Amino acid sequence: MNDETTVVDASAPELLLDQHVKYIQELDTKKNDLEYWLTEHLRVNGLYWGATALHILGHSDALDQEQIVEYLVKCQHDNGGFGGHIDHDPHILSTLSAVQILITYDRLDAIQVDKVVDYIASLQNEDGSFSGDSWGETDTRFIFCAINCLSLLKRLDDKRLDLQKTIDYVVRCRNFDGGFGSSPGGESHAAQVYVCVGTLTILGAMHHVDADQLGWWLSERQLKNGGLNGRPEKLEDVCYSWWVLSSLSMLKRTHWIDAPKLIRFILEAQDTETGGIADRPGNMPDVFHTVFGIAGLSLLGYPGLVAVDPVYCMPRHVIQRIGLTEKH
Amino acid sequence: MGGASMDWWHDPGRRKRVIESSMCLMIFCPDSFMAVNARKRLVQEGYLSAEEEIRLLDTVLTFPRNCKSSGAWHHRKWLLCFMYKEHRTVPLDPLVVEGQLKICQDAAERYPKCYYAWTMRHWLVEHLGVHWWKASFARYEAAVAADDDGKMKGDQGQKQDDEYYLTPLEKEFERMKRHMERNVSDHSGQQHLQQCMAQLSGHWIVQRKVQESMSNVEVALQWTREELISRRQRRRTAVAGTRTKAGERSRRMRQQEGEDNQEEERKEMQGGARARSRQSAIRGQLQDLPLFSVVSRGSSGGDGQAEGSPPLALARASFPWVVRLWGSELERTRDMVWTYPGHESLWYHLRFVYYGVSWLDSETDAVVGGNREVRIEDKDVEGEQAGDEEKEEDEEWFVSLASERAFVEGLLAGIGIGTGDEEKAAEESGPEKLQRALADKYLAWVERLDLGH
Repeated sequence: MNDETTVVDASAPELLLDQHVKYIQELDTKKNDLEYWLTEHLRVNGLYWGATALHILGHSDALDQEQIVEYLVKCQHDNGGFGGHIDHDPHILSTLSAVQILITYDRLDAIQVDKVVDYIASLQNEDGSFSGDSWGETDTRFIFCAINCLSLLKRLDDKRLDLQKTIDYVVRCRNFDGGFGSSPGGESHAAQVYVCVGTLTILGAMHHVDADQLGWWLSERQLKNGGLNGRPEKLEDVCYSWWVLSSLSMLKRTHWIDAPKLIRFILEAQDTETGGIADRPGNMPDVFHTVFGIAGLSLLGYPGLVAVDPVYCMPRHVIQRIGLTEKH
Repeated sequence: MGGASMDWWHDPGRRKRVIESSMCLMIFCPDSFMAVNARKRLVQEGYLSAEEEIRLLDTVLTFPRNCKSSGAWHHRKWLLCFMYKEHRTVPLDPLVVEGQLKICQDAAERYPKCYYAWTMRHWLVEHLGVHWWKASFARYEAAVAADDDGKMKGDQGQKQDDEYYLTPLEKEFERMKRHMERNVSDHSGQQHLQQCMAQLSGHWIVQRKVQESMSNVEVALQWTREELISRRQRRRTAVAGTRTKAGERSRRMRQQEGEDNQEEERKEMQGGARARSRQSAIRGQLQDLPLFSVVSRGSSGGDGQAEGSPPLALARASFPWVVRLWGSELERTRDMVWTYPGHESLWYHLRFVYYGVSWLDSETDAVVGGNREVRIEDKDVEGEQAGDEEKEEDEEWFVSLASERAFVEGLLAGIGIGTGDEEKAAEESGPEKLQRALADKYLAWVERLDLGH
C-alpha cells in the first residue's frame, strides 16, 4: 500500500473508490450500447484493464476470477496465441493481456505456456522486431508485448529469439529528442516511449537511453492544467498519466513533473455519476482511462492504493511473487 | 470460424457472408483484426481484388475517426506490398507512391496528427528517397568527374529520366513546407518534413545502410548528444591544429599573390561579426542559387546557375548542397518562430534543425580538400582561419549557443520584451509570455547540447 506521505492538494476531489469498483463490475452489462459490440475485439484487453484497476483499488475479488479464467482458456488458439474474444484471431496484444490476468490470478496452470512461447517466437522478424500477428504489422508496441510476456513467463532465454537484434531495432527507433517512435523514423510519442523504455529496461539495455534528454522531453508533456499530453501541442489525456509517468519512473525522474497538479487533474476526470475515469474532465469514462488513471495515482503515491509496477503495469506484489528482479 | 477456419473461403456461402459482414465491420471498426484479416485472406486467395480493396479503403479513410486506426493503414500497406511483391528489393515506382501520398495528406487534414497516416507516409517517402539518392548521387559523381576533367561525362539524355526520380521527393519536401505554414501546431507534419530532409541529406547526416534488401533502407537519425559533443570536440582540436599551418600558408599566399585586400577583409571579419556574416553568406548563396536546380555545364549556364559559381556546389548529394539545405531550413524556421509566437511545435522543429546544422558543422573538417571543399563566404575553410589568433571559439561554428542567444535576443527585442526589463515582463500576456518561456527553454536545451551538461 502507498503510505500517507504524498502531498495531495486539499482542494482536489476525492477518489471515488467504490464507484469505480461498481463501474468496472457493470462493464459487461452494457449490451445495448453499440460501443460494447464495436469493442468486442478488445474484450480480453478490457478484462486486463478492469482486473488490474480493481487490484490497485484493493478490490481484487470484485470480479469472478474462475469465470474469467474459463473464458480466457476458450480464447487460446491451437498455435498458442490468444484472440481478443472467443473465435477472434490470435494477436500479440490480447496474448499479453491474457497472460497478465492469469499471472495476477496465479492461474497459469490453466493454459499451455509452451505454446504461448511458440506463438511469440514465431512472430519475431529478421530485423529483431515483432509482428502483431501472422499478417505482419510491426510496431514497437508489439515488441514490448512480446518481451513483457516472455519475461513474465520466464522464457526470455528461448533459443529461437535474438534479443540483441531486438535491442538494436529499438535503438533505431530512438529520435534526436531522446524519444521513441513506432518504427525507425517515427515521431516521438509518449506511448511509444513507454514501450521502448520498458523493453530496454527488461532487457537490461538502458544505457542506450539518454535519460536526461528523454526525461526533459517527458517533463515537457505536462500542461498548465496539470494534465499530461503525448506529443507537443496535443491535448492532455489521462492515459498519459501512465505512459509518461511510468517512463519517468523507469528513468528515475518522476520528480520532474508536478505531482499534486497531476493528481488533481486525474481526480477531476472522474465521472461522479457513473464512476470510472475519462480522458479529460467532462468527458465520458471508459475502462482504458480508468485503469491508467488509477495506475498513475498509485505511481504518484496516492494514499490507500496498492503499489503498481511501472514496467509491467501490474500489482507490484504480483511481480515480486513471481520473482522478477526489480530493475526499476 | 472454429476448427474448419482454414477452408471457409472455399465455401461460397460462407465466403459471401464473410465478405459482406467484414466490409461492414471494416467501415465501422477497421481495428477489428478478425474482419480485416479475413479480407487479406480473400485477397491472397484471389476472391477479392487488391486494387478494389484499396479503393474501398480510400472511402473508409474519409471517416475522420478511421484515420487514426492502425488497422486501416496496415491493411493498406499490406495490399500495396501484395500488389508490388518486389518492394523489398525494388522501391515502389514514384508514380505509385505519389498516388498514395495524396490519401495521407487528406487524412492529415481530416484528423490532424493521426499517427499511423504519417507513419505510412514516412514509409512511402523512404521509397522516393532510394530513387532520389541513386539519381542524385550518380549526377554528383558525374559532376565531380567533370570538375576534374573539365567536361561532363555520361549520357546527357539521362537528365530526362533523372527528373522522374528526383522530382517526387523534392515536391514532397516543398509540399511539407507549405503544409507547415498552414498548420503551425502540427508536430507530426513537421516531423515528416524532418524525414524528407533526412532523405535528402544522405550519408552526410545519417547513418544509413543502403543494402540490397529494401527493408534495410530506412533512414534512422542516430544522433546522440554524446556523439555530437565528441564530434564537436574533435573539430575544435583539428581547428587548433590547422591554425598554425594555415597561418604559414596564408603568409606565403599573400607574398606570392600580393593579396593585401584579402588580409584586410580577414581582419574586418574578426569578433562577433563573424558568426553573423557567415550566416548571411549562407543566405546570400541561397538567394543566388536555387536549391533544386539542374546541374549542367552548358556554355550558356542556362539553368538558373549563377555566373561563376562552381557547379559542384549545386550538385545534390554534395556536402555544400546539404549545408545549404539545412541553412535554408534554419532561416525559414526562425522566420516562422518570429511570425507565429507561442507555438511549441515550431520551437521543437528549430531544435531539430539546430541539431542537424551542428552535426554538419562537425563534419566540415572531414570534408576539407579536393572536390568536397565547403565554400562559405567564398573562402575555403583554411583561408578563413588563417592569421586570426583572437577569434572566439563560438564563431567557428555555423550555429552555437552564441548564435542562438543572438537570435533569441533579437526575437524578444522585436516583440518589445527586453531581457531584465521587469516592468515589461510583468505586462506580458498570452503568446508573448509563452514565446519568452519557449525561447528560454530553447536556449537551455541548446546549452545542454553545446556544453555537454
